[in-house]
Amino acid sequence: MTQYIIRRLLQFIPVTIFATLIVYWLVFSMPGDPIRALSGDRPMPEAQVEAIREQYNLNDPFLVQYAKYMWGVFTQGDFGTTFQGRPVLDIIQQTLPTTLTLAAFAFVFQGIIGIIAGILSGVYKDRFIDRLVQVSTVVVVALPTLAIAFLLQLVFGLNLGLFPIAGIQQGLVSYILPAIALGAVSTAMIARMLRSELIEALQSDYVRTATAKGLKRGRVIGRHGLRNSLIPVVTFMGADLATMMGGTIVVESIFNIPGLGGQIFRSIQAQEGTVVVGIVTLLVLFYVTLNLLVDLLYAVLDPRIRYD
Amino acid sequence: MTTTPLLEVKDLHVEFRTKSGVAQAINGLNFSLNAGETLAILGESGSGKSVTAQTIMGILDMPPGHIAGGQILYRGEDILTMNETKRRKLRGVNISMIFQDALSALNPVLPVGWQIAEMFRVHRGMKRGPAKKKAIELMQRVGIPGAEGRVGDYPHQFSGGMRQRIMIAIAIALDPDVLIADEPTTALDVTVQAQVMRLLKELQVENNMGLILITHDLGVVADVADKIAVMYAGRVMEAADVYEIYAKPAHPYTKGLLESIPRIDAEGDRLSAIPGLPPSLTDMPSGCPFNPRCPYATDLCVSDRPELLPAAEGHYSACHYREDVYQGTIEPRQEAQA
Ligand SMILES: Nc1ncnc2c1ncn2[C@@H]1O[C@H](COP(=O)(O)OP(=O)(O)O)[C@@H](O)[C@H]1O
Ligand SMILES: [Mg+2]
Repeated sequence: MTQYIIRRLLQFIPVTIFATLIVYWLVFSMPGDPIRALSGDRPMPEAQVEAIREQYNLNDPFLVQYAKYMWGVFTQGDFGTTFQGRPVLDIIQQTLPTTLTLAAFAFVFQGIIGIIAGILSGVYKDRFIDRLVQVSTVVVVALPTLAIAFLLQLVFGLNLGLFPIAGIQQGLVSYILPAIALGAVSTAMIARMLRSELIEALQSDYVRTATAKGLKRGRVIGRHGLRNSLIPVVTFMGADLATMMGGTIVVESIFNIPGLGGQIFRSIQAQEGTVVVGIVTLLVLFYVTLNLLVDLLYAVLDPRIRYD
Repeated sequence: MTTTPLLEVKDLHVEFRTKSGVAQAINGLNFSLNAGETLAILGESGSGKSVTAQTIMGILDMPPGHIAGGQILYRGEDILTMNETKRRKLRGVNISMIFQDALSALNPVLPVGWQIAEMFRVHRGMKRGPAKKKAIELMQRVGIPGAEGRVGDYPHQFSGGMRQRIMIAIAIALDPDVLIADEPTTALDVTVQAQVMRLLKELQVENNMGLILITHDLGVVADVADKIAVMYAGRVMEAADVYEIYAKPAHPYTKGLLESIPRIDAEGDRLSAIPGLPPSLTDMPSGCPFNPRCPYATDLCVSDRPELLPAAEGHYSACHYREDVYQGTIEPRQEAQA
C-alpha cells in the first residue's frame, strides 16, 4: 500500500510537468503583446519594456522560461507576479475561498439531489418517478451549462425573485443558483449512474440472499443494495470535484462571482499569462492529488480492490 | 399420518410471463416434508427446482414470475396468503436457504462475520458485540479454521468450500425448522463436496431440521436423503423413499435416470443418457410431459395427464403404467426401440 502511494506520488512529476508545460506554452503563444497592452495608448519607452521583459524572463528561450517559473513554484511557492507587480499567490488567496464555497455548495447539492433521485429511480424502476428522473436528467445533460445558468437566472432570479442572480454581496444565498448551475450536469449523471447500479444490485444474488435472511425491504436496499451501488458514485463525485473547477470558469463568469474561475477568464482576456499559468498549475496539482485520494478511497470502500 | 407435515406444497403453479410467451415453470407440484427428514428434489437443469425453492422462500422475481395457483403450507398455514410482515418473519428464521454459488450469494463488500451477525442483530435484537461472538461460534461450528481471526474477512478471501460453510452458518444461525439447499455443492470441487454434504447432514440431525436438498446429481442423494421427489418439467414424476426408488422405480423417467448412472462413480453429466430433450415450457406437450421421450408411451399418455398416485404403499408415480413399471412387467414399444 505505502509502495503504491509512493509510486503514485512519483507519477505526479511527469503528469504535472506535462500538463503545466502545455498550459505555459498555450498562454505564452497567445497573439498580441501584453506588455505593450499594459500601457494603453501611450507608447512605453523601449528601455522600460526591456526591463519588464528581463524581469519576467521573457527574453529566455521558452523552455528556460518555463523551468525558471516551475522552479519558483516548487521551491518557494512563488507563482510569479502580474505585470502590475501583484503576486499571483495573492490573487489565488483572494479568489480561492469563494470558489471553494461555490464548489462545496455544488458538491452538496449534487450529492443530495443526485443520490435521492437515483435511489427513487432505481427502486421504483419504470414507474412515474423513474420516468420523471430519466427525462429530466437527459434534458439537463443535453443542455450546455451556459443555458442552464441563464434558465436559472431567468426563472428563479428574475421571474420568481427567489435568489440573487449575480455577485456574492448577499452572502451564502448568492451561491445557490451558481451552485445548482455548476452541479446540474453531475447531479444528472449521479442520478443515472446510481439508478443503473442500483437496478443491477437489486437483481443480484446477494440482495436475494438479504431478502431470504428475512430483512425488511428498506434494510435490503439500504444496507445491501445501496452499499455496493454507491461505490462508483462516491468515487465519481470525488473525481468530479476536480472537473468542477473547470466548470467554475463558465459559471463564475455568468454569475459574476469573484472566484478562481472568473479570474482565469479575466486573465485570459487580459493576456496575463502568469496568473493563468499560476492558477492552472495549482489546479493540476489539485487534480492529481484528488485522483490519488479517490483511488485510495475506492480501496477503502471496496475490499476486493487491492493496491500492491 | 395424522400429524400435519412441516412443509407441504400442494398443486403449485408458477409461470413466467415474458415477451416470448408464458413459460410454465411449475405445473401442479406436490410434495411434503416432515421434521428431521431429508427430501431430495432431483431433476434435470431447467426442471423448476430453483423456482420451487424461490417460491417457498418468497424470493421469486415477480414479475416476470407469477404464482398461478396452489398452496405452500408451513405447519398447516398457507404462506402464500400470509401478509408480508408475517411472511418475512418466517424467512431466515423458520425457513432458510443455501444457494448454489456462495460467492455471488454473499455480499462482496461486507465482512462475513457481519453478514452472519446480522441475523442475530435483526431478528434477535442483539448488540454488535454479542452478535459477533455468536457469529464466531457459528463459524467454528461449520468448521472454519481460525474463526476468531477471520470474522472480519471478506467473502473473496475464502475458498469455495469455506464460503459455502459461511452461507450455511447464515442459514442455520437461528435454528430454522426447514432448510432448503439449492445445489449446495455443485459449484465445489469433488473432495469438498463430500465434506460440505456431511456438514449439512450433521447439522440437520443435530437441529432436527427438515432438509430439502435440491440436486441434479443422483449420486449425491443416495447417502443423505430419506425421500426423493423426481421433478420433470415443473412437476413431481415420482416420489418415494430412497431405497424404494433405487430398487424399484415406478416411473419411466426415473428408470431412465438410474440406467444412465455409470457403474463406478465418474465425472460427466449423468442425466444426459435419456434420448431427447425436456419439453419447452412455453409449449407443453398434451398429456404426460415425458411422453415424447418415453419408450413406453401410448395414445393414453398423449391424451391424458397422469396424476401422482401410489404405485405401492408410500411410493407415488405420475405414470399411467406405474404398477407395470414398478413391477418391471412392461415392454418398450417397437418404434421406441428402432
Ligand atoms: N427470472 C426468470 N425469468 C424467466 N424465466 C425463468 C426465471 N427463472 C427461471 N425461469 C425459467 O423457469 C424454468 C425453471 O428454472 P429453474 O427452476 O431455475 O431450473 P432448475 O431446475 O435448473 O433449478 C427454466 O426454464 C427457466 O428458464
Ligand atoms: Mg437451479
